[in-house]
Amino acid sequence: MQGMSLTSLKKHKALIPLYVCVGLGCVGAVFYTARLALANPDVAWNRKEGEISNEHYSNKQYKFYSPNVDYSKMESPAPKY
Amino acid sequence: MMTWKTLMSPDSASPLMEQLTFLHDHALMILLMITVLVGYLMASLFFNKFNYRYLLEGQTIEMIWTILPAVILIFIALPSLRLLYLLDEVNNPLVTVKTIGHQWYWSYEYTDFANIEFDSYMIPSNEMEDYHFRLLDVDNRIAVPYNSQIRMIVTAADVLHSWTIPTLGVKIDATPGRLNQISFLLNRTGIFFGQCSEICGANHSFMPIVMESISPECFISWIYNMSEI
Repeated sequence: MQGMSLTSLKKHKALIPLYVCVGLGCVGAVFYTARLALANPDVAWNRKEGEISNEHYSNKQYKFYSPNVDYSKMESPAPKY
Repeated sequence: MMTWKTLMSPDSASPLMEQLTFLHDHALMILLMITVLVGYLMASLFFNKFNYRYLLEGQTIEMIWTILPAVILIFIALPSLRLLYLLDEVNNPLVTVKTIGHQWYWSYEYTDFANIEFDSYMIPSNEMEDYHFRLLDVDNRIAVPYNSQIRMIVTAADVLHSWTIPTLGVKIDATPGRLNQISFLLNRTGIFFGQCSEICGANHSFMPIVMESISPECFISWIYNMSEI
């Protein structure tokens, strides 16, 4: 098909922005799914001893973007054991 | 508040609702520009005599109409994501109000200071005064201090209800057996109305919500008066 090989792509330059947009979308989807699998506090891969999963983010920011709150300065009112 | 002829958003009573209105206006402006452009292109197709039978490709125009929509979408997405994260911010509420949806009225509890509980029934049309809004006014309004963060905890006693006040940009489902929480701030005084937003039976349309936003001193004396009843 036209546009699938490098030589035909040089003739159909308008396909390049299409590849960029679709590629960015795919990369974003894979990256976010991987971030959920690896960094989400609700997910546990390691069942051995160690840090309790919901304490890892007690003063780190998990949200992508936090306009107001500075999470490194937040104190949770929950008791510390 | 909205009446039967309100076509656009009502004036907002909370900074988050104001931001929602701005986002709506921004996105609608972009949409209107796109619509006018496409409408003009289509109209001009009726009235031109351009004709080229051997047209096969146009690389430049295809590049433009791939990149330009992507840029437009970025312009819509960035403010939208900013507001999405802003709506989820944690903050420290000053006052907590609990509301429980029943068939077919709301009951409110203020347990921060004194144990205040009351029910809020719609004023029936045959008992209305001249100054009441039909099907919107209630006998006991919720009073909250303005310019203070308010936490609402919403639940239901029997079936699903939904607690909402459109001018605050707040709508939360009242689910039996579950506590849902939302936080908002009112930046002006006044009376704000809402209606139950989840079908809950025969009188679903007749269980409105009325919130009265007052100064902190008036709020304290209101609490004091209510706790003596």
